[in-house]
Amino acid sequence: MQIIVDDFDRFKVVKLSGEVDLHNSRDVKKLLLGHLEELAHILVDFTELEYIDSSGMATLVEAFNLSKTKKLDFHIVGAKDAPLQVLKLTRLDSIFSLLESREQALD
Amino acid sequence: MNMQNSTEISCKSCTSELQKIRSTVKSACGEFGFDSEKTSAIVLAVDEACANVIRHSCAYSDSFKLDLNISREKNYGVFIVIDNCPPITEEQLCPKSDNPLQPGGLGLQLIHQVMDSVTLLPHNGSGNRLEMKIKI
Repeated sequence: MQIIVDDFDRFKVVKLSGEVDLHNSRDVKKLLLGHLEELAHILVDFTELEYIDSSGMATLVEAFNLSKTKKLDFHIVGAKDAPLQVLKLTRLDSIFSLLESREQALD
Repeated sequence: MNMQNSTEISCKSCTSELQKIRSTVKSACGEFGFDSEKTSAIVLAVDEACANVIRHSCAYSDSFKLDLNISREKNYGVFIVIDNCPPITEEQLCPKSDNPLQPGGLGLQLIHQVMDSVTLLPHNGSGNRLEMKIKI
């Protein structure tokens, strides 16, 4: 798994590549919660994510809940294939804001 | 891999082994003839089962052993996860809340959603045996 962080407009973009599982989801959690504590709006970029398990989903839920508490935007961009399937199986697809592109977050 | 026979892998109860487990399950699903969507779901379910063992049964200790046996039984793919951790019961496993935003139980929920049957039993008095079946 690789994490790249960059900026897009007012957002901090956290781009996940490869596979997020129990072995590395804590790294994602630490990073996401850290940016939210610094009051950053978040885009989680899934475009190069190949796999995510329930520990990764739990991390996103925790980050999403913190974003609501802090009144910050939290979007997921480019979910497809297996990661999108997990979002649907967990019914989180109806709760998270899923976008096709970063630009949609500016609307 | 010839799925007329079973496939077995044995590894330490360590999160770094999960990628190897997923790769093995994916290959087996190809042999069974599952499409890519079903394969992804099965890979997820077996990964969740093994992750649950590492997290809950072994409490992240890598001193235990985890075995995965994959076989075909009539029209079913059978995935059996055996560990030598302290025995647990299904009652000890946290059920998932109806609210997707509540933490806990997500992995178990996914296993039950994907698989046609899930059975957890003690294994030889010194571990656990989780059997998951899905129709081919």
